[in-house]
Amino acid sequence: MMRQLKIFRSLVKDCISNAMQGPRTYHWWMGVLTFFMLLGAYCYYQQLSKGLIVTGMHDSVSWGLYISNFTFLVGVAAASVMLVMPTYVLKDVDFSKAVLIGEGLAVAALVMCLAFVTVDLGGPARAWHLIPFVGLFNWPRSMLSWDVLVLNGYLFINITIPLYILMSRYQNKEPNKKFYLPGAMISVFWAVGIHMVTAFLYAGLPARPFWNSSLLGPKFLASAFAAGPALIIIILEMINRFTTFKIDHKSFAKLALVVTVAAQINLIMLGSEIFKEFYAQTHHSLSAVYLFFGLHGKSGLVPWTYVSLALNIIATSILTLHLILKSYRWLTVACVFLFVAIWIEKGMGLIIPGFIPGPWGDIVEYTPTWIEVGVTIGIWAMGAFLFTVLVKSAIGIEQGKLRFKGSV
Amino acid sequence: MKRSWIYGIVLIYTVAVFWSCSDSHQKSGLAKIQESTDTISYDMSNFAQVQDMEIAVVLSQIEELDSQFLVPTRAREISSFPCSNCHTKPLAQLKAEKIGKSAHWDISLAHANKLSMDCSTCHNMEKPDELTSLTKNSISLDHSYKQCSQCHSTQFNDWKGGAHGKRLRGWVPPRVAQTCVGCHNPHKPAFEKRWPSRLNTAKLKQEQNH
Amino acid sequence: MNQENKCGNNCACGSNGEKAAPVGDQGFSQLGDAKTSRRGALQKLTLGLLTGAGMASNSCSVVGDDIKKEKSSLQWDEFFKDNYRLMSKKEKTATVQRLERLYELNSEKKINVSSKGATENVLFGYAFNISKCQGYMDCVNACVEENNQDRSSQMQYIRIHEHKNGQINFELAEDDYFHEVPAAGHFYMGTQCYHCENPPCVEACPVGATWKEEDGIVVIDYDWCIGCRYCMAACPYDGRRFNWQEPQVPEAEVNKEQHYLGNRLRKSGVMEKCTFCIQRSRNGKNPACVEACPTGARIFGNILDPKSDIRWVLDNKKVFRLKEDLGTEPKFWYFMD
Repeated sequence: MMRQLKIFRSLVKDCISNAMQGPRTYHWWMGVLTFFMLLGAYCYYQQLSKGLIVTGMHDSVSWGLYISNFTFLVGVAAASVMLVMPTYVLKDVDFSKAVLIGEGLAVAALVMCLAFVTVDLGGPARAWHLIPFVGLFNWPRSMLSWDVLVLNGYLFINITIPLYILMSRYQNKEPNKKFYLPGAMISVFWAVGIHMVTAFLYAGLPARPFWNSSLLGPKFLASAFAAGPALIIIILEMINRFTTFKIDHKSFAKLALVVTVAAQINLIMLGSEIFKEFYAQTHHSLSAVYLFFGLHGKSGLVPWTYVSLALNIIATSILTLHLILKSYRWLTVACVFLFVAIWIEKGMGLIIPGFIPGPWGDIVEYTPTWIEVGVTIGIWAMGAFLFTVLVKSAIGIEQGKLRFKGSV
Repeated sequence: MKRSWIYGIVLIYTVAVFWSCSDSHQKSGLAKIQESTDTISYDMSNFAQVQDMEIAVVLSQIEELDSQFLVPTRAREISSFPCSNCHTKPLAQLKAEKIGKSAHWDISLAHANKLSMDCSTCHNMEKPDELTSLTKNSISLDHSYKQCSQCHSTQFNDWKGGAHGKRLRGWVPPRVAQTCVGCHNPHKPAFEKRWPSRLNTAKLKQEQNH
Repeated sequence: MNQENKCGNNCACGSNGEKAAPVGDQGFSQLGDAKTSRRGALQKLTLGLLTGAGMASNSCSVVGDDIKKEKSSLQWDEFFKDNYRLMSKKEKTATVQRLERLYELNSEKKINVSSKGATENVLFGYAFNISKCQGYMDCVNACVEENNQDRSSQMQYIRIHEHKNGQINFELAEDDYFHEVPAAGHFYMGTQCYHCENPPCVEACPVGATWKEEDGIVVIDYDWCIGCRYCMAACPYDGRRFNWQEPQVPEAEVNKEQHYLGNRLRKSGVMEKCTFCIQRSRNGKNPACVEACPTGARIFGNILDPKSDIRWVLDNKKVFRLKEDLGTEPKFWYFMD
C-alpha cells in the first residue's frame, strides 16, 4: 500500500513537472486558458455575491446556458465509450493509442458537467445536502439524484481505469487485464446510463411537453455518439499535428464511421420529431414552433436553429460522401460543423424551448448575460486546461518519457 | 466469465429501476374524500387565534338546515338604528308634514325594475325597524337573508351550503358566513367596475430587462 | 369541555403534528441518529479546516463583541442543522428559537416563528369560483403582505388570468391587464400552487427539501433547498418562485407572525411558493387571499370534513381541475355558480 502511494506521489510530481514544460505554443495555449479561467472565476464571484439575478434566467426560463452546456457535455463524456469498447472489450487494438485520450476527454467533460451544475445552483454552499447519508439524498425518486450518482460513478470509473493503466506503464509493467477489463465493461454500460439518465431528467417531466418524449433518450445517445467522437477526431488531428504522438489512419477511419452513422441516425430522429410536431400541430407543438419560427414575434432562437440545421445537414452529407468515396479530406471540417450543430441543438435548442411557452402560455425570452457567458467560457477553459494536462501526462507515459525512477 | 458479468450488471440495473418505480402507482390520495363521511370534531384549543377574532354574530335562523351557522349582526351596524327614532309616524304622514329632505333621501333603487320592486317590497312601512316578506310577515334586519332568499333561491342555496358568500373567522367550525348585505348593497346589488388594486407589472419589468 | 381541559396539559395535542414525517416513506432510509453523528463529524471537520485557514479565529478575536459572537455561533448551528422534516420536536423548537434570536440581533425587533404541526383529520382544499372573480387583484396584495415576498422583484404567488368569453386558453389569456375590471366579455381565473396530491415537484427535488405535509400542504424547507430549480421545471402549474437575489422587505412591512415552513424570511437562491398561508391555516384561519377576496370567489377548508364549505362545493357543484391528464390531482378546484 505504502509502495503504491509512493509511486503515485512520484507519478503526480512527474506529471506536474511534465505539464510545466513544453514548446512556446503550449505555453501560450495554457496562458490563454488560464486567463479565461480567471475571467470565469471573476464572473462567478459576481454571481455569488449578487445572486443569480446577474444571469439572464428568470421565473419563466429558469434554466439557461449553464444547464444547456451541462446536457451537451454529458454526451461528450458518454461518447468516450466509443473508444473504450472496441479496445478493451472487443479486443480491436485499433484505438489503443487513442483510448487514453478518450478517457481523458471523458474526465474533463465530467468535471465541466459538475462545474456547470454547481454554478447553476442557487445555494452552492448547501450542496453538501446532496451527499448520501450526510445530507438527504432523494434517491431513487428524483431523477436528478440518479444523475448525480451516475455522473460521479462514471467519473470514478474513468479516473481509476486510466490511472491503473498509467500506473502500470509508469512502472514498465503490462497492466493486468483481470483488473481493468471488468471496469471497462461497466463503463460501457455506465456511459449509456449517464446519457439516458440525463435524458430522463427532462423526459420525465410531463409539465414540459417539448421534453416529455420517449425519443429524447435515444436522440441523446445518437447526438452524443456523433458530437463526442467528432470532438475526439478534432483533438486527435491536433495531437497528430502538434506532438510527436502519431495516431494511425485506421483509427480516424473507424471513428469517422461511428460519427457518420450516429449523425445519420440523429438526423432521422430530428426529421421524425419535426414531422410529429408540425404535421398535426397541437397545443404541445408551440415550443417547436417557437424554436423554428418564433411565437408572437419573439424569435430569439430561430437564427441559431437554422444555423444548427444547416451545419448538421452539410456535415452529415460530407461524412456520408467520405464513407462512399473512402476519402477523408474534409473530415475535420465536417467534425467541427457537426460539433457546433449539436452544441446548439442539444444545448440552448433543447433547454430554452422547454420553458417557452411557460405552463400558462407566457412567452418570456431568455438571453444569457455577459456574466453567464464569462462563467461558461471559464468552465470550458478549465475543461480544456485539465484535458491538456491529462493528455500530456498520458502521452508522456505512453511514449516512455515518464517512468518511475525510484526504487522501493 | 464475461457473460456472467453482463448478466449481473443487467440484473442490478433492473432491480434498481423497478425499486424506484414501485411506489409510484399508489391509490389516488383523493379517494380519502369519498371515504370520510364522519363528522369531525375539532380540538378548539388548537385554534385559539380564530376564537380571538372579534365579530359580533347571531345564530342564523334557517329551519331546514341540519347544521347551524352564524351570521354577523346587521342592526347594530346601521348608524341611526333603530329607525323608529325618526320614523315615529307612518311614512305618508311624515311626508305630509313636509320636513323636507333629510337622512337618506338620495337612495335610488337599482335593483330589479319598477314592476317588481319598490321600497315597500322590503321595508315594513308600518314598523320601520323591520323588513317585510312578500307575504307581509316581519323579518328582522339581522336576518335579512330571508328577505333576499325569496327571489334569489339559487344563491340562497349556495350560501347555505357554502359556495356563495364570504366565510368570516377562518375555516374551522363554527361557520361564520357573511350575509347578502355584507357584500351587496341591497339598493344597488351589482358589483361595480373599478381598477385592480395593483397592476401586475412584474412581467412587464422582466421583459424590459431583456 | 373535557377535551379542552386535557389540553391544558399541552402534551396530548402538541404531539399531533409530530407524526408528520414518515421516515422511510420516500426512500429516506437513513437513520436519524447515525445521520446526526455523521453531520457532527462534518461540522467538526469544517470547523477544523476553517481554524486552519484562520477564518474562525477572526470571528473569535472580537472578544468584546458578544453579539457578533452569538450571531456567528447561531448562524453556524443554522448552517449545519438537519432537514426540517427529519428533525425531532426538540430540534424544531431549537431552530425556531435560533431564527427568532437572529432576527432580533439583526433588527432589534421580535418575531414569532411557529413550528406548529398538522392537525389530525385535516386535509386542506381550495375552490375557486370563476363566475365570481372580478379580477380586482386584492388577493395578490394580501398575499404579498402576508407572506413577506420580495418587494424588489415584485414576486407574486398568485396569477390572475383574464380570459375572453368562449374559451379557457391560457396562451391567449391576458396576465398583465391594465384597465378597469371586470372587462366586458371577459372572465377571470386565478392560479397559484395547487398543492397536488401527487406533486411532481416533490418527486423532482434531489435533496428532499420539499414535501407534502400530513394536511396536504406542499412545503419547502428554505434552509435545505440548494436552488437547483428542478422542481420549477417539474411544476406544470407555474406554482413555484425562485429568489434570484436577496429578497427585500422593508422592516416596517415584515409580517412578524411567521411559520418555519411558511412566511418566514427567505434568502437568495432558494425556492418558495404558496403554502396556503400555513401560519394562518394551521391556526384555523383562512389564507390571506381568501380573507381579502371581496367577492367570495375563494373557498378554503378541510376536505375530509363532510360539513365543511369546501366539501359542499365538491359534492354539489360541477367542479373541474386544470391539466387533470397529468395525474397530479390538484387540491384546487374551479367551479361556476
